[in-house]
Amino acid sequence: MVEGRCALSAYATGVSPNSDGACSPAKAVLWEQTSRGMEVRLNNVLIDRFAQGERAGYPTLCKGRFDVDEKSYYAFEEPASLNALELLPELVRTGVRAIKIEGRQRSPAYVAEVTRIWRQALDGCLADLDGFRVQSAWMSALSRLSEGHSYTLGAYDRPWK
Amino acid sequence: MSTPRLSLGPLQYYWPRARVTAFYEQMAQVPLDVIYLGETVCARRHELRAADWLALADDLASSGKQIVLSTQVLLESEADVKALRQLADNGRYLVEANDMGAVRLLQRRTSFVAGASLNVFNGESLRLLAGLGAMRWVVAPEIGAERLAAIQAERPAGVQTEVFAYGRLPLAYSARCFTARHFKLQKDVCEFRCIGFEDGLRLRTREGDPFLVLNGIQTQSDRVQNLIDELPSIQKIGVDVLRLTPQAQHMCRIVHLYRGVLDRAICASQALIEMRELMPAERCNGFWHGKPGLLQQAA
Repeated sequence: MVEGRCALSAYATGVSPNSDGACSPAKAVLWEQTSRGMEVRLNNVLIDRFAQGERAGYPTLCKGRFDVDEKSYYAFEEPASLNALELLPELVRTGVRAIKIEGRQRSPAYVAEVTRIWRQALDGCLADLDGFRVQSAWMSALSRLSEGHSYTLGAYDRPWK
Repeated sequence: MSTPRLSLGPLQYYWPRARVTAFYEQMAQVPLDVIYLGETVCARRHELRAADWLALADDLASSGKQIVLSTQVLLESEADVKALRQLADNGRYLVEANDMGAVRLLQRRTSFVAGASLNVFNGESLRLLAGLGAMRWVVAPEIGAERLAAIQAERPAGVQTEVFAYGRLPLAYSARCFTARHFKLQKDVCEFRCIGFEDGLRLRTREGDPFLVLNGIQTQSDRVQNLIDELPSIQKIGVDVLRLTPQAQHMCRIVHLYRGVLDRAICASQALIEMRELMPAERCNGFWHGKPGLLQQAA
C-alpha cells in the first residue's frame, strides 16, 4: 500500500499509522494453536492460519491470507522481505548515500545480523565498485531471516505491472 | 447549528458507460446538494474519460446542484497528469484535489476542495490548505468525532467540513491492482476485470467473515459506515456536508432517507430499519467513536 494512504490496520485495530500509532501493533496480535492450525489474529480478525510445519510470519494485514471467491491466498502481497543487495553497486552509482535497514517489528538479533551482512557488502562495494559480487553466504543468511524464507526486489522491480 | 448539506461522493467502482449515465440521471432527480464526479481510483478505467466527465458535469449542472470534479488519488504517469490538468483547468467547476500535485495546479488560482486522501490530521495542515485556496476539506474516514472537534476548533473561517456519512470506506490505495491479482493478471493487461463487480470484490477472512472489498488498486471496508443516527454529534462539531458514497443498488432511496432524517421528516432509527435491506453489508461506525473502524458502537 502507498505509505500514508492505508487505513487497513486502523480499520481493524483503531490504532492509526497515519497519526500516532504503528501498523499491525503488537498489542493487537494474538497467536493461537488450534485444531485447524496456528491461527494469528489482529484484534480478533483472522489474518492467517498456518498448517503444521508451515513457517508463520508476523500478521501484517496486507501480508495475510484471505478468501476471495472461495480461493484462499495472499490477496495483497506475498510475505517476502525486501532485499536489494544485488542492486548495491547501482544504488551507489546513482548517488545513494544512506541505506536503511528495517528495524520496526523486528528482533534485535534480526537487526544485528542484517546490519552485519549489509555492512560487509557496503564496505566491499565502496572499496571496489566494479568488482563487487554478491556472496552466496550473504544471500542464504538473509534468506533464513526473511519472511517465508523468500525475498523480493520490491518497488525496484515491477513484474506485476 | 445549521442543517448539513448532502453530497454524493465520486463513484468508486468501474461501471459500463451507459450505467454511469443512467445512474447520474437518477441522481439529478434526488435531493442532493452536491455531486462529485470523476474517476478517482484507476487511470486505466476508460468508460468515461476526463472530457466525458466534464460533459456529464454540464448535463448535471442544470439540476441546480453544486458539481465538483474529483481528481485521481494516485498519479503515476504523464498521461495521468494530463488528465489532471484537464480537470484543474476546466474553468467552470470546483475541483476536489486528491493529491498534492492537484493542489499545486489549483493553488492561489481558484478555490478547491481538499480531498480526504490529502491526510489532514491537524489544524495546522488545514490552515496551510486554506491558505492555498481550500474552501472545503473532506475528513479522512479514520478521524473520529473527538479528534475532529479539536481540528474544528482551529478551523480557519470560511472553510467547510465534509465527512463520510454513508458507504463503504476507502481504506487503502496501492500502485498494484488486487482485482487483477485475483485473476492472476498483470496490471497492464488487467482485462478490466473490475467492471464485473458492481460493488467491488468481497474479501473474507479464512473463517468466512466478510472483511474488506477489493476494488482495483483501492481497498474498501466491507462494512458500510452509516452515521445517520449520529447527527447530533455531527452537527455539534460544525460539519457542513455529509458525503454519501455511491453503491450499485438503492442509492436513490438512501439519499431520500438521509434527506428525510435531516429534514426531521423521519427519525434515524426508523430510517435504519429500512436501510438494513438497502445496504450491501453490515453497518459500522467505529472510526467516528475513536475505535477500530469495523465496529458498530451505540450512537
